[in-house]
Amino acid sequence: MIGLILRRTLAAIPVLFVVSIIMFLLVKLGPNPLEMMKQQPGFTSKDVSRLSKLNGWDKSLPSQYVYWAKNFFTGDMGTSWVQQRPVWSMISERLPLTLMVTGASMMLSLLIALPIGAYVAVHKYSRADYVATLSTFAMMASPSFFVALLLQLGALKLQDMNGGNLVFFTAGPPACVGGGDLLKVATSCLTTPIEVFRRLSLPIFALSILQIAGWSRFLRSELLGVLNADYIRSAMAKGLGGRVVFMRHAMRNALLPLVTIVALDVAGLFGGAVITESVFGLPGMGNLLLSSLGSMDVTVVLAIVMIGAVLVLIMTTVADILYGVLDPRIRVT
Amino acid sequence: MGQGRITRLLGLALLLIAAATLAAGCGAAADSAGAADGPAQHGGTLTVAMEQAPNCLNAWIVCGGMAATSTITSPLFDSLLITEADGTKVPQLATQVPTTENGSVVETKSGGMDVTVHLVREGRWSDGKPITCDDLKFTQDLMMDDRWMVSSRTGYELVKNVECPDPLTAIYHFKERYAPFLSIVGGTPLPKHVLQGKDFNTYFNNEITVSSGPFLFDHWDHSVEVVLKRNPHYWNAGKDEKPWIDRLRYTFVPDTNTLKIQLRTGEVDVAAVQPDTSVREELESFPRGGYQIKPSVFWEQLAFNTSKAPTNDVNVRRAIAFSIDRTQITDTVLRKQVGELNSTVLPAQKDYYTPAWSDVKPDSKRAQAYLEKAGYKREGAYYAKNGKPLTIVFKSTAGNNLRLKVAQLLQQELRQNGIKMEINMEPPTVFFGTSTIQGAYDIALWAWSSNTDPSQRTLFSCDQIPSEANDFQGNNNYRYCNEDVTKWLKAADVEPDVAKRAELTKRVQVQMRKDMPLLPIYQRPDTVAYTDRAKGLANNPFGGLTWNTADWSVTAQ
Repeated sequence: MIGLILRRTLAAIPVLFVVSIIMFLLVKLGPNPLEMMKQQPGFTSKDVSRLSKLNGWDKSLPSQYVYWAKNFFTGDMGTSWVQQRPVWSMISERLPLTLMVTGASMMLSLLIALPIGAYVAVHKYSRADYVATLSTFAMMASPSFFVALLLQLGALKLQDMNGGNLVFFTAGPPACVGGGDLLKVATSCLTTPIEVFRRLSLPIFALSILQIAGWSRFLRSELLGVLNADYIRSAMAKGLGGRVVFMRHAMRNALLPLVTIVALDVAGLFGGAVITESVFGLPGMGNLLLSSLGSMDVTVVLAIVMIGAVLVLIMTTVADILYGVLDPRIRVT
Repeated sequence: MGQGRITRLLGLALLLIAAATLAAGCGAAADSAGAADGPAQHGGTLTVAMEQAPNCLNAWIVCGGMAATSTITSPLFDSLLITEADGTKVPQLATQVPTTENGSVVETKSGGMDVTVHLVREGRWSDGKPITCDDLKFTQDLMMDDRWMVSSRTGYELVKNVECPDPLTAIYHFKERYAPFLSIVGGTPLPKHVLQGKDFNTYFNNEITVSSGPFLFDHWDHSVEVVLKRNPHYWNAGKDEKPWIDRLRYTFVPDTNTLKIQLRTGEVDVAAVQPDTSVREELESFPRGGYQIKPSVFWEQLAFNTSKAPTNDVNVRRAIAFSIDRTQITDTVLRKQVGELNSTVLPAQKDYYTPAWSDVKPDSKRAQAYLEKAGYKREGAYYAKNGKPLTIVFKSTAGNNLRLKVAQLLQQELRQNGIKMEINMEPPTVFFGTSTIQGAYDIALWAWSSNTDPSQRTLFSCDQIPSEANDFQGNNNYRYCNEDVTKWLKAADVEPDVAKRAELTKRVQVQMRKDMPLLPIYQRPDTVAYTDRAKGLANNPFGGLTWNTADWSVTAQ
């Protein structure tokens, strides 16, 4: 296992290097973001030149990249030119909310998708299967902004039914997520669970819809393949109970490919959910990435992309290890 | 067995929703909206929703260049002069508006000018220190300090120095005559006693430690909100002891639909709503609230690239202009929220405004005559020259729904007059960063922002055309050059006398109408929506949403 981790780490170095160069060039080869400010009265080309120089953009692209890379790989993510703040502090204050929303959504999705997928696989072509199929297709076909809008209108209706008092907030984060310290945020949010529930229920649900639909369909199709396999028939012929066969043999094998998908989605947690965060006014990582791309804030974009790349690497390694745990035939070396 | 488990799960979910409902019922009772009108009273909190969060709180440096920062910091800083909704300048920290008539503006023999500003005796920072000429001098020096990322130095560069004959008098010595001097001498003073020796690139970025306005900075939780609190030592509190409200809270909601829903639910009290076709109808349907729509300082215009064919021919530009029904654009795309604009100077800039483009109405015969004058002949559906149909490339910013609707209307109208228009919507960074400054378009739609001063030299004079030779300096993206216009623009910029300057500015308008480097379309609507809890709001496009927060109050419950 240690060998696997070492190999993956060594293989990651050139990947990260190439990713960073591509992202750096993609953002840097665009036009000077300060040009957009010339729409304002009094902001002239002279100001663009002066400020570009102050930001170090008058230097050559290779020297700008080397300067960034040297700092990044020694732990300094740099300073945002837009906010004039250290990039890490911008990331760390948004991370708790993103982890909270996407993490809860992932758990909720697993809790709902796994039983549904298993049930409809066992009862294939039943009325429940048709209903589930229809529902999941409808869920997959609904864009998240549309689901979000429906949920917000639902909250408005619920407010009217509740004598004008809000039940679920339609946007905005709970107060407990401010500050940026993950532990403090967790402690603070635990003391205000009702507010957190009222604030985050709608975005979590909106975010879960697509995952529930996708994962339950995926599990159903995997299980249908496994349930027809010879070893399942042999297990049944040996006289093992249906529940034991299903849980120990069928489910365990059907879950293997799902582990990879969920592991990669966990890596995606860091990037946040751009549309959901935007619609529900949640200042998470997705929003940060979007606004940084818009303002061509290269240090922030690169930091998020690089951390995302590292997380993908870690989670694929974790998935490989889990494969070994779920299936003893697979040796992780 | 399964059914029992499902029932238990459903029960748990219902219990959670019931708990949330109960908590909401208890918590929201005191904040419920829909209260009746009443006189202003002290106390309460108003929540302002903004679509963008600020990058930093320092409105003077580049990270504070967006409207979000000025919306938040405007209640923290009073200025020497403020601009009322009708464009009139009135004194705030100054005793009067400096003019040549009242002797405060004097031309010097060396070709420069001296502007004298008198500060009010009562002006105080929130820590009790008086606001003096030292602060004005310090502000000027700060703007010109190369270490700081000051957004724009236009005008400040022309000030030789600021002299302080006494603490309440400042004399600005300008190196040359500078007509837009009020934007410099009427600005916002910064506190010398707080900022001296500090790093201005960072010191005011996350908190403002002293204020001269009706509110004090309370806190900025980057992820959640910015909160201002009442300044108990406000120098201009008056007999009403303003401001009325205790706290002003800013939240950030990037999605316009969500913002409107939040106004409906009462989660926010005040919001500036992005312009859209059906905004008025939507806001009228709000059960507990109101709205104000006014023409903003952003004016949309159709720019012609005068440096390349086919729009380098004035007859083609005129043919396009006389093919366009601007009234139809404002009637259908904006449903009459604003009317058409007939000048590059806003009507609120009263002294300088002349509706030079008012005669440009849709006129097919005239448009076709101009095309024929340009050497085009009708060949089938389109006019053509040398066998090639007249094709115009239109560019604007992608993601702007209103501009796309305008583009589609223009396409139809031009087609009716035999001109083919291809629409190319680009990301704003590409559009503003490359296409406009490098002249990579035929016609383009974007907006300029005006302030109270009518100076437009950087937009239209010959020496402001961006090119490779001048490293793309200048904002004359039309690549328009008329030596007379340039001469008048330069003269207007150094003419402190309002009447003489107005005459020059109007002459520029009339000439540009003839040369047609652009067609003004409309002033973007500035919409402020609010719940019936919020009172005292007065939409002022020049001053921004929060220009008069001292007068805001929460309705008596």
